[in-house]
Amino acid sequence: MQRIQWFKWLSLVLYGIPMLLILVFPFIVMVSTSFKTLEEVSQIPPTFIPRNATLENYREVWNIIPLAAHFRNSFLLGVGETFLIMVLGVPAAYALARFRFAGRQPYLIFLLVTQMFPAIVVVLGVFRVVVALGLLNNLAVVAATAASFSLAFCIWLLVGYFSAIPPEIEEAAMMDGDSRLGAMIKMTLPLSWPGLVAVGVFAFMDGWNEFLFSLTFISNEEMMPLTVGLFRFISRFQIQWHHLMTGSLLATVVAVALFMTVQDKLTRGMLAISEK
Amino acid sequence: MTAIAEEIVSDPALSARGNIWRSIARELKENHFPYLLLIPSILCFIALVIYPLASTIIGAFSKTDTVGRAVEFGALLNFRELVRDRYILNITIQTAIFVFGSVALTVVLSLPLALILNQRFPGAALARALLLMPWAAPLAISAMTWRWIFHDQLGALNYVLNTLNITQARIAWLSDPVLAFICVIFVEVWSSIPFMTIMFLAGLQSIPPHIYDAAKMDGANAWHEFWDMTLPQLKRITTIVTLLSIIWAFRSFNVIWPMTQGNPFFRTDNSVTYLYKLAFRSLSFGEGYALAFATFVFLLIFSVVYTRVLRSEEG
Repeated sequence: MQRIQWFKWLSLVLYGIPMLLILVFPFIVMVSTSFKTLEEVSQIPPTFIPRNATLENYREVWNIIPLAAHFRNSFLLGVGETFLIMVLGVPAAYALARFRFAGRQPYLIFLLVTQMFPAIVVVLGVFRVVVALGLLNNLAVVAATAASFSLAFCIWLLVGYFSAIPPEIEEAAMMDGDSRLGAMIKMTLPLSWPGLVAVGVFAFMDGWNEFLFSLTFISNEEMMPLTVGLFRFISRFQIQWHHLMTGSLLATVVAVALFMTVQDKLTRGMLAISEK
Repeated sequence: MTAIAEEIVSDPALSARGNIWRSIARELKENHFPYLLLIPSILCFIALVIYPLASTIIGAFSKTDTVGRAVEFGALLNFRELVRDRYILNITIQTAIFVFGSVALTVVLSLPLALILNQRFPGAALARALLLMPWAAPLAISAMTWRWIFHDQLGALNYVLNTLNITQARIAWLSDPVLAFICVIFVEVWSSIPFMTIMFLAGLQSIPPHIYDAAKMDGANAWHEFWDMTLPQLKRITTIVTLLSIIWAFRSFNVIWPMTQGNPFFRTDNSVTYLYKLAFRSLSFGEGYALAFATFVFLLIFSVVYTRVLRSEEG
């Protein structure tokens, strides 16, 4: 017993803590750089804890790049994708969880197959249509393409949450004179609320973190989301790392905070998928 | 309703040619509600997945113009061009090393981490939250931050190495082809550890504790306990999570592009970033379509074989 205790602490100190430090290292660097002045950022050797910590960057960065517009666009992508995933995914997942019908198995397999090709394949195909219809620089197009790409995974998640709710509850409601649709809206949806919220947040984050589609379909700086806006910022002129890291930190904080609220439900949902 | 559906599927007489449409019609008539619910998602898939995929496949076998339109049938023209491409061999090798290297490393690094985090210690909740951060953060932005960390003069990595006296050199991590390739694999691994660890952790927690009791009575040591009891219990989740990770690593764009854009000299490109360059930089859409098609076919075959092998192992 004594020996096991000893081993536990040793492994924690020698492996666990260093690993966790590496995992959060970029975020520490973001924080540290965002409080530095230009002078200190370009100083050799660099510093770790800013010597003259300043909040200047947090004020300046909004004027140097259209950060407010980037935030708005990322937010719109997140909301748009959540909306689409819910409207398209919830009915489909409900049908797959509750009914046994001829097309069920093929559809589930089809969902799996859509996971198998790189998003870039879709980008190439959609790009032509987008150009032909003059829909470049349109956030709705980006949201729709991104949503269609995570839709399959979200449907799998939702099927898991819906299956966990006993169908008898709906049957009872239908006895009381509700239609199938009524029973679904009145009984199953409220009960699966935590799962719906988890998938909604997942979809929002997927939109918030989206990069490839926005990079391809958006060229107007005012319409870029944070990921592409910041990427443009680093490839354009002499990189101002202190400003870049300030913007990056702000973009990251939103995603991480949201994720933490639902991570437990989400990981359990993913585990359920992998057990099938 | 269910019974009818199964009957239609399983009855060989009914699926004879002339009867297929009638049986589909009957199925739709008697069982229409679930199909109605599926319509929105099916329409979405047709417009934004199936149609682009089909046009990519058509494009792969056609001559294309500079905006990617298929002009005329070109048979294997694009594939011939792809094989003649002087970078393609490198890209293929790099993609293979990138995918299998990063997934193998992720598995090897995540399992011990999960075992450690599965124990009770003060701060365990905080440790779990920290673990999840790379997964939650926007990957493209994290990759840019790593680019800053790898900066030769001002970056944090050289600073840490210099301070710890490991080296006094200011290594140009992302300018050297080999180092840069190691760096992008490192960041890919960094970004995949949280998901893999959390899945292992969930798998560990679902092992019924009583299976260890008998072993303890037999006096099994901790190593045997891990090797003979814990690992077999994790086998199923490992295989599935590994397959998912391989597929995701094949699709990886958000690490390489923000970090190196495939530089220097195409030495950190994988098939996805190279494809992006083919289409949007050199406007060789035809060759791009061919590469996309090849990647898709490879992943499809790989997944089918992989799941078959697993099934047969399970018996």
